[in-house]
Amino acid sequence: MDRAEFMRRLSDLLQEVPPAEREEALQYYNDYFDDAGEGNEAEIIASLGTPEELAKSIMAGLADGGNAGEFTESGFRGYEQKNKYQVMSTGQAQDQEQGGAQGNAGQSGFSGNPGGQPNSAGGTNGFYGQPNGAGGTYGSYGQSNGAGGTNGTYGTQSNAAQSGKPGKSMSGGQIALIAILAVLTSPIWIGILGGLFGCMIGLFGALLGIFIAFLAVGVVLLAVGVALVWCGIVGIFGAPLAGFALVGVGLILMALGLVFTCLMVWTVGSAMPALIRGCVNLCHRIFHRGGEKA
Amino acid sequence: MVFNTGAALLDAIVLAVVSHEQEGTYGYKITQEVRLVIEISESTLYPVLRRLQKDECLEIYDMECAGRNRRYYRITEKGRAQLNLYISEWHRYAAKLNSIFEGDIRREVKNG
Repeated sequence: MDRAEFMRRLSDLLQEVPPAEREEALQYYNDYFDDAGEGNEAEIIASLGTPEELAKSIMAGLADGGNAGEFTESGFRGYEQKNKYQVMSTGQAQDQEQGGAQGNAGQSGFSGNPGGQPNSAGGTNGFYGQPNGAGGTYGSYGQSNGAGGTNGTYGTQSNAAQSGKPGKSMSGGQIALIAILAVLTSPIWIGILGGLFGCMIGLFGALLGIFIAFLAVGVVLLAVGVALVWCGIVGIFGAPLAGFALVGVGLILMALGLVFTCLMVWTVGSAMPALIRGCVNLCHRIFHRGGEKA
Repeated sequence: MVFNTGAALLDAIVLAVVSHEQEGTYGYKITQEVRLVIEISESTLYPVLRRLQKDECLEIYDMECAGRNRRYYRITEKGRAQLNLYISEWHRYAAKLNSIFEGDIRREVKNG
């Protein structure tokens, strides 16, 4: 049988395969013959096996996405006995990796679960783990036997002695996570702290304003009162009635000025220190707590 | 070889071989290179390459070569990530086996 006949028979045997897949496979083996060189044709044909065997391996690969069996040095093996075991595709393996925590009863070293108890009623898989009714799998790294055996993955650690390791790495991860969260949420808490700080500054400013207003009113009233009394005393000699009236109004204004000044003194003396003390206490409490966190 | 090569390990070997060629490589060459390290038949790799391609670990393209189109395989980002995973898992696996084997040797020496 030469190359042309080999390919023709292979093509005939792949009739049931979707045309795109057939083309793909035929192109691959055509390339293969081309690249091997004309001199090696017979050798290649001999090592590829019969067209029937080759077609069988191509179709088996298609039927199960290539995962029904495995490939050993003796060729494709497993499609005749695929009920016995299944090898996972890489895609499934990745899924398992992501959802590993559920799949394994917490013992894949890969997913870092600290638990050490054996898998529940057989058949949960790890990475390349596979449920295995009858035992006797080949070449898979981990397997869980129907009898309730453990070992979903080859990263498995079922003894409690080693379970501390993943736990430690978990806490390290948690610290890192908290740090990342703190950085990510920094706009929020910086905003809140800034807002509080702004409020305190505003409150302080308002109090200062009130204080200055009281002081100004008191001083102005006192000054006006003194001026009016002075004018009145001067005016008494020209127009006694108006002069006395001026002196009276001046004295009233001086009294009001004293009241305001007293209010100011009270403000400075007791209200202000109390408020400042309150603010300082508040600040101290906030920053103290923040310091503890950091 | 005494030990069988499972599907995952074969995937890893094929990905590693393909990843060594920046411009990609072709079926015959991949087969010959894999055969340097493990004994596989010539028909073994097509389903593996097809599956890796479907899993988007490998991508294919055709390039003119000696007056005909040759199909090339090139590793994808996903394939590279998968390969790195395989490699790190392999190291863990090998280290564990080594510790078991060496532990046994030590015990034998002690008992002897």
